[in-house]
Amino acid sequence: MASILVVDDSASLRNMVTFTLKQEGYQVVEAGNGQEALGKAQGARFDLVLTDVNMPIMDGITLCAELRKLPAFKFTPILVLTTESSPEMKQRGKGAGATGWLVKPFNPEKLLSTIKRVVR
Amino acid sequence: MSIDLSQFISTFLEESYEGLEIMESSLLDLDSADEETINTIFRAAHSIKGGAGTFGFSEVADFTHVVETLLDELRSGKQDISPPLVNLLLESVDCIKALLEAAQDGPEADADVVSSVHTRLEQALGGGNIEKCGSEPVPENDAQEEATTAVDNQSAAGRVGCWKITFIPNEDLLQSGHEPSFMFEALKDLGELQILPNKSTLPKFSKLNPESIYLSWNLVLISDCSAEDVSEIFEWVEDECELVIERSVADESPAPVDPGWIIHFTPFETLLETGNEPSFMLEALSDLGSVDVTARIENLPELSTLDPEKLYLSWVVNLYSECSEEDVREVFEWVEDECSLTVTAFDSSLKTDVSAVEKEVSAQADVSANTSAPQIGTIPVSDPEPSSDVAVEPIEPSIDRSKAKLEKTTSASKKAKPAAESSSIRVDTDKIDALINRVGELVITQAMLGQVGDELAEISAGSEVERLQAGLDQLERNTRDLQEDVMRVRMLPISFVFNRFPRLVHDVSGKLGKKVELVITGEQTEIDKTVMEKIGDPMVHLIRNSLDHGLETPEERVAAGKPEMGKVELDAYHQGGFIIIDITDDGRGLNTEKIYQKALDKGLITADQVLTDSEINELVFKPGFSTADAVSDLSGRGVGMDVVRRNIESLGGHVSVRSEPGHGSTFSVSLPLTLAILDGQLVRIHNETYIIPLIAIVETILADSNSVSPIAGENKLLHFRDEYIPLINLRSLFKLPKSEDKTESSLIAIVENSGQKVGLVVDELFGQQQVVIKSLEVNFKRIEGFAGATILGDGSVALILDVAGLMKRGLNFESAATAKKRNEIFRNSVGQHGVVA
Repeated sequence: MASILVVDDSASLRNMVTFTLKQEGYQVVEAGNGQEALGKAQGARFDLVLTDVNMPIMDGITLCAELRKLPAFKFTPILVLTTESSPEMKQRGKGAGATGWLVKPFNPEKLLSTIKRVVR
Repeated sequence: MSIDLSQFISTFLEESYEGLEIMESSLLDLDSADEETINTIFRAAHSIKGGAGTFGFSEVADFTHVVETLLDELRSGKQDISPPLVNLLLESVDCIKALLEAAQDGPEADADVVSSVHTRLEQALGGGNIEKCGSEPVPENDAQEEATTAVDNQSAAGRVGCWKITFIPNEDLLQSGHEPSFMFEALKDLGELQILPNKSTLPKFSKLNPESIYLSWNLVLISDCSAEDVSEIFEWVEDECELVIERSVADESPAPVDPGWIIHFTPFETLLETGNEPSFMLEALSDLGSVDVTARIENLPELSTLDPEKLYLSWVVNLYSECSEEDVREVFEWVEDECSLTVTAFDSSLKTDVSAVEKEVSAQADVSANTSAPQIGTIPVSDPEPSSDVAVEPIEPSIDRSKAKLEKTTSASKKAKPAAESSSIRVDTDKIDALINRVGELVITQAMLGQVGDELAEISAGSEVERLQAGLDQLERNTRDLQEDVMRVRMLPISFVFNRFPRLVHDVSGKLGKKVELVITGEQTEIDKTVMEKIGDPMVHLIRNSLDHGLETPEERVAAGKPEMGKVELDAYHQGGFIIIDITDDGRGLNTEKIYQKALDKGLITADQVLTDSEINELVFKPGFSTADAVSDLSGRGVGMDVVRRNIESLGGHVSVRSEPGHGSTFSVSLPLTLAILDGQLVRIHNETYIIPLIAIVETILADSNSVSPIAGENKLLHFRDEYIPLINLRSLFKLPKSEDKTESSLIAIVENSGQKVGLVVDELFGQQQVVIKSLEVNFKRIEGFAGATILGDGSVALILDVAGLMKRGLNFESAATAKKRNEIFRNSVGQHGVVA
């Protein structure tokens, strides 16, 4: 089953996402900010990265850009979780190499249906 | 599948409260426009909003959204930080907290406060004026209504049974007794109503006549009612307003004859690098309906020149589905800019999706990476009046972005604070309490085993007994360590309480017009969570008291030769088994003369009483005492120092005051480190062992009969260290048989509570010991004089005495009064002078 890196500084959101994904049988690795995620991405492979945008230490946009520099993540889908549904935030994400976005608030069903667009 | 979100809610709430605390402390820190601080605040608000939305706290999410928007303006430099804004944001923090608490089965949030803050936040957006406008002639929440209705005004216009009402009242409408908001209420009874006020005619505040109406309204009423129903509501004001009521054109779109879409999807070569996968998108399309997919391979290069990381194909898809164009485009949402995409309806003459049209139009106008402009498969709806005439102008004044931005970019001077990394886990306090209880039982068992071991060692010797002894010693050590460690789990740094005080001081000093510096030390001192939860309110009161009564106004301070800025210090530290919290101000100190006079006026003391300064200071803790000339908004909340003292003593703590006239005063609170264990003095009364909390004991003495003088009845006084102390004979209080022992001396434990000393007569003193407090009230009725029970090493139960309760029960008025009287006489006789007003 696919493995997913979940990055969010909010434990409640992260727990919810992780719980939902695990229930569906995905393998999940969690990180509390971009930097931690980057550390966990080194030498690893994931089928999908789900990252929050606004985080301390390293935000999700920077994380996208950094991940795309790693050969193992050249084609990996990266979805940004954002409350900013404005085109400008989406563009920032795209500009940094994000695959797509998921607008908060979302429910578990929406999460699962969304990631099925990029992960099988 | 369905997932129960409620399991994450408690984490979310805790996170949010933490976030609010961060917001609050950062806001108080925001004097300088430090970019990182604003970012921190923004992030906290952002997280709360996101979580609130996800976990279904829509009210919190909506409210926080406005806060976030305002913070974003500050962050991006569109607005400058100003004290009124900071105050408004602080109020918002309170509102969010209240809303969260309400959501968490707490008391309802004050809707008026929330909506008022909400309105002012809206007004503040774009740099608007945020002052409260009390005299505004219209309901204040119009901006709010606008915000909530503006969101879906598009969807409302042009539906079946939709009335558009333009209502422009004459300025003097109110003077005929009409109230527009009532009319709107009546409209709401007919159906769904959207209220869009037009504020363009609103004059400057200074020119505003509170008796006039300056607003006009566009209303959208979704209802199947008749025109008469609507006009009836305005019947009485027909002559006093301009009123247009028109039915929106019914706009139910017939389904396309042969629904479906032709999709041309030509991704850029680099599409794979975004992590997107065309085959998934094609599959997603197949989820919408049945599809014919044609792949076009004309761009496929020779195998030798083919780059495996690039995409050379394009696709044409016929999708047979009743889905909307939006649905189709959503599949390609993430790759809009990395492909050329056209979506064409099979029958392009029937299409009604207005927003899609608008989107296409704007997409065309905006010259984007889309090289081949998509063919528009839609035509405008036949409605001659699109929704635009319902929309009102935005009320926010336009923002001068460029100027503010320039000023802000250079301000990142302050060093960013390192984000607090914590490696903690959240555990339910119930679990910890169960653990503590279990360890308590273990301590008792261990003590019992130890005792058995000792007894065994007395009757027999041998290597087995020695080994048992050694093992028991080790067990004792480990148990004690374990107990300490477990107790520490419940301990939290007192900063959790202290953190709210900068805000308190900020708010209160602002209201009082005093300048105050708050100095906090020892905030890392740890204290039991339960004690901490209960100490908050008394502390708040003590600090308020210091600010209100202790500190002088800046003018008074300058006149007294002090710096204009007053100082309040909070200091927490450990002393023995207690935590001491000192609240010190450098204000005027307690005015003993004034206190004495006041106590006299209130009948708390009599004129013939002579008191020392410290006894006079003690009077402030008496019920019904207040020195404020006028009961102020702040300290005088009906809660006196007596309540503060009572609350602290109910925690097994103590509060006292020291004061130096002209130089300030110190309120000193001492609290037990924990409520679960207690340092106790074991005493015997008759055949039973009892425990007196060590904190209450001043000293224990063996008094000879000369120093004990009987007064009326059974009552006795102890004359000790130049003081008369009433005695309570616990044997008689507990209705136990009189002592056989006829010796004239008696063992007395002198205890103190609320400044009153009492001697407890006991039969024997044992050792001092830490005991685990067990509540009696689970199984028994509460009896005054007993704080609980514990289990001793031998397995027997010992009651823990509650000094305050004993005094209430055992100390009759007469002996206390006699003691007081004698004390005065004694003091006079040795020439000690009290202060007489």
